[in-house]
Amino acid sequence: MNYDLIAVLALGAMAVAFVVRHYVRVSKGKAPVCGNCNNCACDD
Amino acid sequence: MSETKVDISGLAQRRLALLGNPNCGKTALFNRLTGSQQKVANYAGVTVELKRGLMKTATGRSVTVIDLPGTYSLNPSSQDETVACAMVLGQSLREKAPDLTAVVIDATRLRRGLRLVAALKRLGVPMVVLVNMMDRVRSQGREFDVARLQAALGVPVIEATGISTHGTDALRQLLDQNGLWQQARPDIATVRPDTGTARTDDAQAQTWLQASALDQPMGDHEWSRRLDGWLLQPVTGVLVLLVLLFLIFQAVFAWAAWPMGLIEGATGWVSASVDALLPAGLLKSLLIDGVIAGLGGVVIFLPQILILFFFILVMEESGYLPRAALLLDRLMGSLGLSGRAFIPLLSSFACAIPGIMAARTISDRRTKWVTVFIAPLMTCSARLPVYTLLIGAFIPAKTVYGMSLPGLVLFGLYVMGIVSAIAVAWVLKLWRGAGEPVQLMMELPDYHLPRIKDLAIGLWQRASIFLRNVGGIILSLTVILWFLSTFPQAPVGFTGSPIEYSFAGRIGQTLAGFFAPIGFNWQIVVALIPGLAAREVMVAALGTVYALSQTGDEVGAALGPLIAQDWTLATGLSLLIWFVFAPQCLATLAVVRKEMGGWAMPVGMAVFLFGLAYAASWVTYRLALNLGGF
Amino acid sequence: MASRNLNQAPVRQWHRISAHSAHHPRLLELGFLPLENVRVLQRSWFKRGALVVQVGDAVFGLRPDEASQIEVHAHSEVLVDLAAA
Repeated sequence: MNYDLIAVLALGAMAVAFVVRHYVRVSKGKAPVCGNCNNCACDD
Repeated sequence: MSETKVDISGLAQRRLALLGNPNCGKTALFNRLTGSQQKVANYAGVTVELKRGLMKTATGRSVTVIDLPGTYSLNPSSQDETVACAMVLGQSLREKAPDLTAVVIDATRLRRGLRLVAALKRLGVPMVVLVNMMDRVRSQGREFDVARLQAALGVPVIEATGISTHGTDALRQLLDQNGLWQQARPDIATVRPDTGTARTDDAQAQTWLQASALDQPMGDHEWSRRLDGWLLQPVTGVLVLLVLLFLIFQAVFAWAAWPMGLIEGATGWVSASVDALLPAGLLKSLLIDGVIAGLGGVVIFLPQILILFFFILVMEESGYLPRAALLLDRLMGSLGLSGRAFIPLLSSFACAIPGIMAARTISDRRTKWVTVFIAPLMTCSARLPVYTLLIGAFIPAKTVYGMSLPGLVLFGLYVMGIVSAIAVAWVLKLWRGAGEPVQLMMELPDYHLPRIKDLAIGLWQRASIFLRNVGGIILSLTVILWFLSTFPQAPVGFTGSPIEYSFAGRIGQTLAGFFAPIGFNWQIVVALIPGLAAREVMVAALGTVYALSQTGDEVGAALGPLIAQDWTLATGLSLLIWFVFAPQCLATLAVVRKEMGGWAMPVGMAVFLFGLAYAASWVTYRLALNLGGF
Repeated sequence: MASRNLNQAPVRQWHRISAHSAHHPRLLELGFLPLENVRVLQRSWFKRGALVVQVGDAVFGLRPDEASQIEVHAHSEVLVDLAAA
């Protein structure tokens, strides 16, 4: 088994999942849009 | 068996709203009550969303605290004031009315604060009064009989100060009085604020002041007047501002060298350790060329970012910021832009997005449009890592007439951003016609020495936001980019570095032709794409792309020297200028779409800025090539 | 007692806002109330540049068109009272 490839693919999948989840949350207004300030564009 | 007492009277969560003038220290009180770390400065009135927190009374009961935007009166004249007023009066559809309102007034500006109290009293809103900034009054030995004021007002009055918990402790005790929470709230239907009430409220405020023997001016404003004599004077004021900004940028390079060296060393050490621990292969490449090279490339700029923001925080906390905004407003006012639009520019949280959202307060459509359009040109702290990377790589660390050249260039880039914003606004004004002039009416609060603790908190916030970004979106995009730059893997015997065979390499090479006239190589083009998500990602992306391009054995070589070797000075300068004008990140475009409605504006802006950036880069590249023969 | 608007007022000279000045309601909220003491602290060299104005003990930046809405009377007696403030 190519553990290397598996490890790398797992990390890659996590990265993709994070990015997708982040942008979905942003479009729903649940996360700050730019993350550069903490008091705008967030409905929390 | 132990018996636990269940407090059923506290089950319905009590709601306390904090209301007060801008600059009365309300947010600092909120922080102290709720233990949160809200940013203290709020000049442009951007926050339309309400901040909520939880506090505990002296007996441990929970109270929801809502920090409302600063407002001068209950007759709202801007969007955030409308939110505050509606909420307090129970007219808000989004927020339930508070059970109790704590009105925070500044002890050095009693009359104005008491006008607000008078308005609330007139409308029958249940309240307590917190007289803040008492330290400034006491330090001058003035008499302030709180009990007398309380007797005159007929509501509980507590004295508070930003530098001790005395006031918040007293408030916690006060809030245990059940009677306070059971007062009748105003009848919504009959309450309608109107503009004629300012005089009545003022008369009431003056009556109270006289009754409490408080009608002498409190607080020493003399120093502020004297300082303003210099700092707002047309000539000396602008000079001071320029010199200040200039010195700040010098410090950014001078002071950052040592901590950057530390971070670089640490990154190199981590890289080498991973290199020694793992067998060669994909995982190792992902970690070293992807994660460490990418993130390391960005994290190394944290010292410079913090130094810059330290100074900007000092400007904010000391009260200088509105003065700077006023000076710039004198320059920009004729373009129909409000000086208050500059405050996000000068803020430590410099990001186009607050500037765009601050435009909500502008009622004139054309002016609002222009303000939104030029906001990205002026403001974006995410450019800083890119600027400092390129300056560090291409601008020799010489001193010119005693001034550091890198610092000079950085200063020049910021000035270029402002100048380009002014130029674009001017052109837009010619094209679309001037809108109605925007209100300024900006208060200039007293100067005061910033407290170390507040500065530390502000810096800590900035650092944690930066690191959170790094560990979150930048890390993820770097990993994805690594994938695209590694697969498909080059067959054995492929000449050239393996990355050129991958997806990313091919995309880069395809697009490279389009960018060749401005001196961008394909690695830059590849890195620009994830840079659309956030500008700092560009640096991480370059780190990864170059790490993967290394065919040698060096591990963890710093990005700066790599690009200094690989690119010409003309390319470096061209990329630098590109970033002054470059289209903003997707987040900004999304906010523009939301604020202005529709896709036309964000797409138009992106296309325009892209064209502008291309043109500027082209000119720079050609000039650099011809003049220097680089 | 000369009547003029705040934008025309000489710098550093105290004035009193006239009782019937009809300026923007927001200015009232900020403290520019009738009979209140007010003076211009600084002018800009640009024609449309903001002024620095003191009303009572608070200081504001105002645009010339905002300041010109405020009708004031020059009041030399006011100087004596306010020297103490």
